[in-house]
Amino acid sequence: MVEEVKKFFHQLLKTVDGLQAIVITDREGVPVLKISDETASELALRPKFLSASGMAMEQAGKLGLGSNNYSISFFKNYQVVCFNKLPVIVTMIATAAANTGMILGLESDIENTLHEITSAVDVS
Amino acid sequence: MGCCFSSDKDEDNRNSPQPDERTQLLSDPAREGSSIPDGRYEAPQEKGDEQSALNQILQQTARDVIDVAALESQTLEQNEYVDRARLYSNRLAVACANSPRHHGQPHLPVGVAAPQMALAAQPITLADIQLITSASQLCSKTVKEIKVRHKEDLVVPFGVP
Repeated sequence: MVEEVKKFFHQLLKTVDGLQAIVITDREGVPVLKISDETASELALRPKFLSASGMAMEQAGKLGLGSNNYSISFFKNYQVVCFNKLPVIVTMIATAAANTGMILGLESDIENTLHEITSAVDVS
Repeated sequence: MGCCFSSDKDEDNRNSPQPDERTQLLSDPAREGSSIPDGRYEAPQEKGDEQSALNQILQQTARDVIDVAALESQTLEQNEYVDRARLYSNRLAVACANSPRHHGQPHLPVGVAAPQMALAAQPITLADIQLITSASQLCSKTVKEIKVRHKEDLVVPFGVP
């Protein structure tokens, strides 16, 4: 059954050109599910990087503008889109040229599948 | 002495009941201590309250303040990280096995996995379009000109005297 979930995310990965990885972590950056293709940067899948995006969203929530739903960060070669789905954080890593709108559109596609993953993290 | 609006009224404000920026959040333990008669010890309850109030303030402050430097200390130990990742993996397997939900295909069929690529491709040149148009016109014209030429009878009698 986990294989089925992984297969789903692999197919999702192929639907957006330039999308290289989808990583679902808890708020501290511990991975629950890591899906990536061969082009994905190894650096972007390291624990330190994954925890940084979660922390950045948490800190952004303190700016007095309300809680942060998702964040988009552009770097020289890559873009990182993070969805706040607490208790999990979904991080999508893509090339800088990838269509950001299409990546954001994946949020509705993963909504149902996230339920199982959330239940694995949420003990209460 | 001091900045604007710092004043000699400090002493008055300290005793005023209305809270302001100079009001102490916690009462001064030294002052309170002096009010307790010598030899008596009745503080544990009060001290506990004070301590918890202080902790609450500290936690609230830590929650509200954006302290990037402090984030370094929040990173997990390597072994804890690995343990937790393994735990999540097991839990996910259980959660998925118990769930009857079917994970269908993503919305786009795999055959056209990236339609934006086709849509964003370079348009066909005008010369190519003209070539296709003239070729198809020629084909159409040729098809129209196909005619049946009658040469002999369609019914051929065999063995009829």
